[in-house]
Amino acid sequence: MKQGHLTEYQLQQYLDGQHPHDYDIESHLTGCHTCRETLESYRIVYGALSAAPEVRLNASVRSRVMAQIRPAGRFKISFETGFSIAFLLTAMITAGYLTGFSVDFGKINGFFAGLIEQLPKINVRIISDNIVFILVPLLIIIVIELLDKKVIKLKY
Amino acid sequence: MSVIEKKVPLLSDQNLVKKIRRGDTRRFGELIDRYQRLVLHIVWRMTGDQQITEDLVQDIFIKVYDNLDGFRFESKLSTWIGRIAYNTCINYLRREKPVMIDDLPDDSEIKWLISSDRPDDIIEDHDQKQYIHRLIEQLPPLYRAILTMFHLQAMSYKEIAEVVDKPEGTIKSYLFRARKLLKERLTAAQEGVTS
Repeated sequence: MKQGHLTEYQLQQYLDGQHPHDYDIESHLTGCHTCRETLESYRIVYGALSAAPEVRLNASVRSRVMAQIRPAGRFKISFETGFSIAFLLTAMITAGYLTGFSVDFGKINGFFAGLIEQLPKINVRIISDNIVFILVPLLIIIVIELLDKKVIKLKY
Repeated sequence: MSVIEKKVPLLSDQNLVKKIRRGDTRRFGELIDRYQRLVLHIVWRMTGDQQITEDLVQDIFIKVYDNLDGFRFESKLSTWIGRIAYNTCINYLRREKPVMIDDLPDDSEIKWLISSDRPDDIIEDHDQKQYIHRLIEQLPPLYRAILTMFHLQAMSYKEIAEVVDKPEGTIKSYLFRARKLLKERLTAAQEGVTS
């Protein structure tokens, strides 16, 4: 620190706006040619540092980024949605199993019964008879996802 | 039929990120527009090469997209993006120019790095700025990044500290030393011209 002069640190802080309208600093600067000169040099440095570099980003960079992120997409089901789906399906199948309630969709039931028969140790009747309870919530979820992603739009 | 265009309100960072996470990838273009200046300035100041800058900016925004799910708004989005930009540059420089990366703990070493050659003529303002920019290019990358974030992006000490993962006190100290050194070199050059 120079005796009788403002320190470099004080001058930098002054230019950083840390001491706005500091009377002591301003009155010292008014009467001290040396500190005014140092401050002026700092002003030039600050001016250069604040000047935006003469560089521009080629517009193709943005396009290349957008092209790279698009194909992957971002299809995913959040934890909440996944939990709701699992809960709904479990509730539907359990309800159908416990009550013995079933809806006869004729060929649809038969089609899924045929598929499920390929799997071992599964009670074909329960699942095929209640397949509607799986299909309907799935259909609702698909419609909600499509609306959310604006693949389909509602007109008001 | 006349079409009345609705003015689309500017989304907050939080809502913008939510929309992108839900799959509205077009909105990512908005995020790029919002933060490309920040990323460009950091990368340009740290690498100083147009082609490398463009490649790194592209990598950085793809990283931002890929990691967006992990961003929890514990810091500002700008700080988080700035950190990805800074780390990407540091990793690049470590591969390409390993000598320039290490932090320089005291003034004598930083002075050694910056050339003391005086230009023939820096009387004009423009020349002074050019000279200072040449000096900045000789500073270590960490100093350049800090100066850029503080002076060009008006980031706070705290935000810069988060970006470069250093204490706030270190940021203040680096800023002070770098500016003092630049001022000393400028003064010396001016005296050389006028004497």
